[in-house]
Amino acid sequence: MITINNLDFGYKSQPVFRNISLGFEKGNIYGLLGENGVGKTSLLKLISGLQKPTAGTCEVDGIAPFNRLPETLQKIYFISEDFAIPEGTPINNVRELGVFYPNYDESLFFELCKELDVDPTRKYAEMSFGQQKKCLISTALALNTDYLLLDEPTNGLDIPSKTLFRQVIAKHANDNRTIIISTHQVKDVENLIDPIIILDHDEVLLKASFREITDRLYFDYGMEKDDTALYSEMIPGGFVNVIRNPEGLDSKVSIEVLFNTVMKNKQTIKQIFS
Amino acid sequence: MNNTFSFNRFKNLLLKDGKMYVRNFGTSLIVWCSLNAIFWIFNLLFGSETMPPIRFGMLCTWTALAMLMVPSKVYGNANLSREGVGFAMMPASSLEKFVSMFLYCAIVTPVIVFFGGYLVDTLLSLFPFGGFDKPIRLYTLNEIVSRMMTDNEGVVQMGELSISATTLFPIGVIRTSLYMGIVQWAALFMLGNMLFKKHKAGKTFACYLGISYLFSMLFGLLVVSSDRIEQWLESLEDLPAEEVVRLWHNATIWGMIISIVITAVLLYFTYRKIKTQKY
Repeated sequence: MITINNLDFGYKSQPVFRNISLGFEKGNIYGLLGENGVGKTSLLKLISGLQKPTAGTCEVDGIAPFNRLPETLQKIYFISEDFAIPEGTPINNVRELGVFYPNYDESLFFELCKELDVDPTRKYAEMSFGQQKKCLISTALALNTDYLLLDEPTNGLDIPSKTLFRQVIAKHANDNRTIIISTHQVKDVENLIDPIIILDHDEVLLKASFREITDRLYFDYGMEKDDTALYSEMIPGGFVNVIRNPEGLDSKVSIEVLFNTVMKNKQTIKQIFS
Repeated sequence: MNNTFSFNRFKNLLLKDGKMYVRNFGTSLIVWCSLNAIFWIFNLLFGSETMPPIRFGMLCTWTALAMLMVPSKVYGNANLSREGVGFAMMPASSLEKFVSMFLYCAIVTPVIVFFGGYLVDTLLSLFPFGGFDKPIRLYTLNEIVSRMMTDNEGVVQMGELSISATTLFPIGVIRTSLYMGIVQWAALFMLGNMLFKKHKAGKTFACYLGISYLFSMLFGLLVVSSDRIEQWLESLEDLPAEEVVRLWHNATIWGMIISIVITAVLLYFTYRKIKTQKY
């Protein structure tokens, strides 16, 4: 489990997080959403031990990741948005890495490469950005780490590849693995992520599962705009109105609409979900 | 799980770093080993001196230059925020990463470049070039010391006293200083590699020159401005030779201690930087 308690973090004089607390439990695919610059990547870097909190704690299975103990490092794999292209071929790269990860599965790597339609024997340098990313995703899943951190994983992928990405992530998610996907392209991860975390400058605005969201908010898809709604958005054929849900009615969550609702009603949303 | 040092994990890391070493420095190694020969072929064309001791000195120079380059060539990404993520997140301890880096920079590189260069030089001496007819002879430390500062059978003349060069420069001290010098040189560029983001070798060398110059200036000023040092130096002339030798030994040992401390500090900060580098 990843536990973040009263964490402060910033770069020089620019604060990013002030006193945030969060927990990530096993078996979930978390969606980390937020506007540009709110600290999504910083949070992933803190969890992977690439950055150190200025105050408070960040622990992975009870150990501070910044200590960079092999025991912790072999549980985490992080693909950053602006990843460095590995040298050589994907198969050589994953074999070099695999000896350090106790649950590495080479047959799974080949299977994933096949599913994602990439050639693992071709040099990284000769591949397109999307192909490189798909090879890295195959590597990450084949290393079978407990925690998989993906920063904007669908950037640079074409539409069929985005679908394939959702399929392989959903297929290889399991009860022992925590996947955190940071993205601002929410449609790419719709139906994949649950729970959702929405970050704002300095703070966490929302952390809730889809069940909790639909228990408290009702997404009303209709012809009319509701002036009493927390948020309304025009969609093809009408409007979607987000209203409070005291009756506990069931509705389909649109992540993009939810995100906009949260951003427009920060304090109200915090009260509703507190 | 042993989070500090595991031999199995270290073996895997050495193999991984070895592959990276060959990928990033393999071609350079061949160049460094050949540079000595290329340099002397040019010298031969212009009829310059190619005595084995001079060639030996040049071999040492090429080795030192290769050691200057190797950390940034092989581990240049280790402190970069984008490229260094792989290094930081590799599931090995900071100590294992440090020791592996040290082995490749301070031991593997000088051994390969020196003996590779020596092999090329020896092959060159087999061909009938004028003035390049003898291979370099590798002297033992005893022989080197005996030839230092003396033309007379390994004896140093101090006033009326004749002292054996090996007494003045004990082999143990010379050996330690030599190895310490190699390690210190490697440690300096390993630290520079972790401190600087760009032009790592150049900036480290510039800092090294700057700091050396500063200390020389300070020491020079101290000697010039202090009457007591001048008096002390003059008083040495009146001391018996045995006493001068004793003082010399003390100075050598202190110099060695300072050198060991500097090397340890450089290595410690390199390790510290590997452990605490933020990305």
